Amino acid sequence: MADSKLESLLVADCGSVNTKVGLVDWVEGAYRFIGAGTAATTPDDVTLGVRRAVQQVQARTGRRLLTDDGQVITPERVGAQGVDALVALTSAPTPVRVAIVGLAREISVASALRAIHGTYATVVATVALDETGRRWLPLPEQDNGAGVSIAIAPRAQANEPQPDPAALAAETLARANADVIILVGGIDGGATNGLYEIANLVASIVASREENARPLVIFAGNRDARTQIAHRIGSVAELRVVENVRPTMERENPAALQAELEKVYAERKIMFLPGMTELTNMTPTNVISTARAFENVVRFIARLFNLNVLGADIGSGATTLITARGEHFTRIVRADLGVGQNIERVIAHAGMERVRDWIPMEMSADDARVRLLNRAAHPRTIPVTRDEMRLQHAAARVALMTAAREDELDTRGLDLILLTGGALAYNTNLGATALLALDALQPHGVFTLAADAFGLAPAFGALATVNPDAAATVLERDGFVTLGTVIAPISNAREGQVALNVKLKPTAGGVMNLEVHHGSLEIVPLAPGEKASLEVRPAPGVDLGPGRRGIFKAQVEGGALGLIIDARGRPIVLPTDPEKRRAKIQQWYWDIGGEVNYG
Amino acid sequence: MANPLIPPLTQARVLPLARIRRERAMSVRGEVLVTMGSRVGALDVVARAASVGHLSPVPLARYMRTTETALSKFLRKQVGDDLVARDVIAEKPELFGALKRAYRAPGNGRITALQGSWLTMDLLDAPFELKAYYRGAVVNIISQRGVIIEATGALVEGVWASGGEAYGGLKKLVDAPGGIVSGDAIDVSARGAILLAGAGVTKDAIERAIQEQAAGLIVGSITPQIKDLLATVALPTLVTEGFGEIPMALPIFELLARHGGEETLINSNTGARPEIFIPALSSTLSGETALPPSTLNSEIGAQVRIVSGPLIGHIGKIADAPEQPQVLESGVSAWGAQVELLTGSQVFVPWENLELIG
Repeated sequence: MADSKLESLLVADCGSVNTKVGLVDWVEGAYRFIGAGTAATTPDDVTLGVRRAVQQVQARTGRRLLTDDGQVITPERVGAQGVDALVALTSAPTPVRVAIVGLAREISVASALRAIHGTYATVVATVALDETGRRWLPLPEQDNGAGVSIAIAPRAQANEPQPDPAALAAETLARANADVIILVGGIDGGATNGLYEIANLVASIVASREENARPLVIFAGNRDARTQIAHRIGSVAELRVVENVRPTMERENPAALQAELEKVYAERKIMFLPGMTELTNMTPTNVISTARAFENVVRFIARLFNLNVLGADIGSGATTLITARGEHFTRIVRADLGVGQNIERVIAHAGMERVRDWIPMEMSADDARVRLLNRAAHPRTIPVTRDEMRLQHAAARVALMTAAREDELDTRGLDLILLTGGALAYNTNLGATALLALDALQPHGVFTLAADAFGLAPAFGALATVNPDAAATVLERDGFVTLGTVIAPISNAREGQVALNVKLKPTAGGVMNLEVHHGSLEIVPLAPGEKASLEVRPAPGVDLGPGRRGIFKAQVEGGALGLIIDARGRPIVLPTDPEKRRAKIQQWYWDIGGEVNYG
Repeated sequence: MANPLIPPLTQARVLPLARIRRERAMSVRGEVLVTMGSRVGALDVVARAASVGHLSPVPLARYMRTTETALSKFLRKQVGDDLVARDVIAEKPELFGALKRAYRAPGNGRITALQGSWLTMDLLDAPFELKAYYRGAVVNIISQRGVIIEATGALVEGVWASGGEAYGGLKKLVDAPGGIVSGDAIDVSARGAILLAGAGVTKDAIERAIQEQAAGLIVGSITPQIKDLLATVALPTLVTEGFGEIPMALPIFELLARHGGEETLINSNTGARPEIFIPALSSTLSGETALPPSTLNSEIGAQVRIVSGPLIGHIGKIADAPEQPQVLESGVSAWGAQVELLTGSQVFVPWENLELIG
């Protein structure tokens, strides 16, 4: 029996469109995942969606979990009725609206922007002093009769002076209606005068608002300016001071600002979600964000198995990428890129043509946009046809690629890639899922690919806060489907040239020798759990990653797809001719088993 | 007893008669012009604000070529002071007093803050008047902001809308829910009207509607091009089904067609689904009129609409709720319903792709 007293648990993930609930319990000497249910997230009262999803679990498992009046039964009663506890996580609130005010767009503002992409936040305005004339140049002067004057004429007059870039930028900031203003600028020990000027601007705008409508101000700039910043802003707004996001020209330090924004999201968004007080009363711990919970999962697995892990969560409203290497981790949360209600923003950001680049069938731009607009209007919907799924996966590729490229995701030296999110949930077409990850992230080296089995991986991260044993066991046994081991070299070979010679000796017996050509995608059958000795001889100019020069030998384990050899090179180059491109992508779908449903 | 295998589905409300409460409030403080219990017409102004507000921060110390510490010496106005356009806010002698450097108010308003070197003014914009739009009774006053109105009438929830609110007589332009409206169907009689189309509208229909000063448009679906066009023009539009060329759902078309010529509101600022509201004529209401239930139950026999996939827009009834999930052509393993379409044929549809309608 486990040490923890909380053995039977419900985990509820209240997403932006779906609320998913999973049931975990101690069964025959181990924690197991028992069943799941999904309901629409209910923005007017988040607990309603949770209860409806629990009702689905109850119907599908036959276990009584709700009282007659619809309340979750806790603690567990005799006869396996109810559960010991419910834990919850959410990404349902709207993102924090952030304005950034800084000295230099390419330096401090850029660092702040990357830090903001670590939580559920959207940038509503950026004001950089260097874009407003740096020295706040004076307005053109105007003769006013009595003497020199710089008075701005009433706006209706024809002789209106040239607009002052500083005042225009300031008006943009005043109109932005941000929840949080982030003030950045200056390396530690550097000049402070410019910072005081922009601090005055922020203070002046904030003080003009009604007290209960004033944004929070976070200062993450030159530490030498803290006292003066506190003096200028602290009296008119709530000011929080964190470490400088750019302490030196060479070093970026986003962690403190990221952590503060995560805290703000919890305090000002999660806790203000209708019904959240009641939900919090039902749970033994605080309700945490989905990104935070997923980070727990990725870091936990990295620590447990001593692996370099990348987790990718493709949701309806947000795309999240977490890496964990030892104790070091990074987190990218793009609250503007999703494949449900935010799908139009993906198109606006990257362009419809980039989405169509990844569709294996002919589909006009209009047809594709109509389907994606309908999905945005009804983001809970499930693709019914193969074409709809291909289109959704193409959009998911672009969302992932955009986040990875713009936020400089490091995919080198990975051992394990975990995939989750609404775009993948309950998808039995595992080859298509694997291809989506390989195309979008284009990792190279030798690594394992795994997909979330029930769309509940982040929820198990929240589970770890009350019962780490249960979380560990369920994640390992039930949480993910291992798709297979992937060998993905970088190569300067030409299409058709031999890139790798692969020898695979399964422990069950037999030997398989394979000559892999550049440009190809191969699957070698190796069943889940089955082990094999792998020997890879790369051709000259073919690179399997750091520390893997010459002949590479390893013990590998199979998966639902087997051993995946992705010899398409990095970056993957798509044919420019649309017909050839579609044929090539279709070929890859066939090669990886993307036309096979495993249900 | 409810079938436990059927989850509660979202509902697109299509109600011939409903009693609703709607908040009508301004984002800025102002004056509420009506009293509790009073009856309001759709176009009555219920609240008014002198301005919607326009914060204008200026780097005053720099404009006056002085430092933030010395700035106070030159101020002629203080925080909280009202401003009239061209009032001198700060004045500083230059060239030994021979000249004066002045900063004058760019408009009427008030000084809201002076923090170090920056001064912020709240300049008056155009006065703002909030109309009731929902004809009914004021049941609550939101101090300085607006009211809550209780109204009775027909209610239809849409899928997408743009352009805010519009009110006018409902003018039917098609005879069937699949009809497409082109420019030649719109004439001078569209002025001030809410136009009712079927499966779609053409680009020249939108242009003609604007030319004839139509108040708004209700349509089953629009193409991406029309959606982009609507973002650039002033024609409040409500879409009942989605995007592409989808006929308006028959129950919605029939309900709206019955109200041809009546005053109609379309509102995309509800905070939830956009809606069409047609206030009940007083002759149809007598005292405490009994209203049909506004919430449908998810159960066998319930009327549903398919909202995704090849059958988008089709209406049917839940015929069965299979106990096991089914693997769709897309590869997704999904729980769902057997839906009996109006044609009599049955299809399996995931629950996520269904909504109750009625």
